[in-house]
Amino acid sequence: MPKRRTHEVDAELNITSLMDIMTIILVFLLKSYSTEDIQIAPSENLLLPVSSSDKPPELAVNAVISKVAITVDGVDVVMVSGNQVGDQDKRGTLITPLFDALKAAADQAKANAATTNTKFNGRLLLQCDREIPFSLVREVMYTAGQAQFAEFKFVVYQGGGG
Amino acid sequence: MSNHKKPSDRRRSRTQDEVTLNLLPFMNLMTLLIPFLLASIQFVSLAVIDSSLPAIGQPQPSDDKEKDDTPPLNLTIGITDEGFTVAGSAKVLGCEKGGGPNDKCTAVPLKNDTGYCGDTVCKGNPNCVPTNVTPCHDFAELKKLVIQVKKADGNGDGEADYVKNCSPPEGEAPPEVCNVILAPNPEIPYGVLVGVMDATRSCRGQSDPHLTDSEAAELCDDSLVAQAVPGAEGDGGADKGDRDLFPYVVVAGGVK
Repeated sequence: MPKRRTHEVDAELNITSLMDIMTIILVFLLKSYSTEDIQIAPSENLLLPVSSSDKPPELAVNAVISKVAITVDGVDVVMVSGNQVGDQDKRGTLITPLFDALKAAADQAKANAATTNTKFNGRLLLQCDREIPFSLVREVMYTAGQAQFAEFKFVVYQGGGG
Repeated sequence: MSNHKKPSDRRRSRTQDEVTLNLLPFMNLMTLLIPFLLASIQFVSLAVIDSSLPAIGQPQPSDDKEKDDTPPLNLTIGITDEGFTVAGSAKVLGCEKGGGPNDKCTAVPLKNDTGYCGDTVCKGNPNCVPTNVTPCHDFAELKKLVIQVKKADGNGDGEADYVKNCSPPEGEAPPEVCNVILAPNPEIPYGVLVGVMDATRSCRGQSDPHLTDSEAAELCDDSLVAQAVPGAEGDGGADKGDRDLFPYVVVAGGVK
């Protein structure tokens, strides 16, 4: 009886087509890669307004006014209830916990500017919910002004006719 | 005989062995890169609107260094829950008369149009859920009014005196005629404020969300193009069809 030959075939996966897919995905993702200096965390309490402005955001101290809290650089500093700050946290128009947080942020920014031999620009990025009344925005802007932030940049979603 | 090839063919097959590229390291790299890029993908575009410190008390007229007879404009837009009130210190608005039948201080009432009001909130953004509130503020009418103010003749010489280049050289302040002072009531939502800033920033020609094509053709014409300031970088706005109106915003303390 003749001896049966066993065929030992080297099983090799052809990954060239997979590579093609990967390359296309990579190019698409690189195109949409975000290089923006600021990050937002959209929630039902922070719906930014839509604007036709096309000016890109710059790196600066970041203040967020949502329906539940005012946040400076990611840290909640004062609670918001019924679209206003409680009287215990205010001294006239000044919101005291916010002032302390912004003053500390301004001092830090000044120290950073001194080490890099640049000038403190007093820039503040303001992210506000679109339904927040102007009275609260004004109080925050006044408090920021007292903490030496004189230039405001309102962050908005880009849209509305290009 | 297992091999039926001729000796010459056998020689050739030895030299033309198929070379397979080892793609596995490259695949590893891709597998690492793709989750990283997916994490930093940008789904929404952000932009910013510049504004300066709110004036507590009366808005201060700026120091206009130009020695001409054009009265300062000090365009002020009051925003109330009944609409807009456009005022200024220049003769173009006739506000120095303090009311009366000849007073051209202009009020823009609210608009009672559900479709329009939904659009003013979302502005074509498909991800936006409109909070349909009617009546709403009439940004389109405000824009038409502001364009007329920009084109106005301040000193009676027949020229549009308030059309100036709003992109000055680096380090220099823009001319006073590029400023608009916003005076909202305390209860006005922030979204309305941004809408007013949009309406007063520039004429975008046919892509303008506030104007129809025929209105844009009529209003956003070349009479709004100022001469370039020597040394100014310029943002290429005029090349894109944009015509600056009042791009610099000062938020005042409120009118109540």
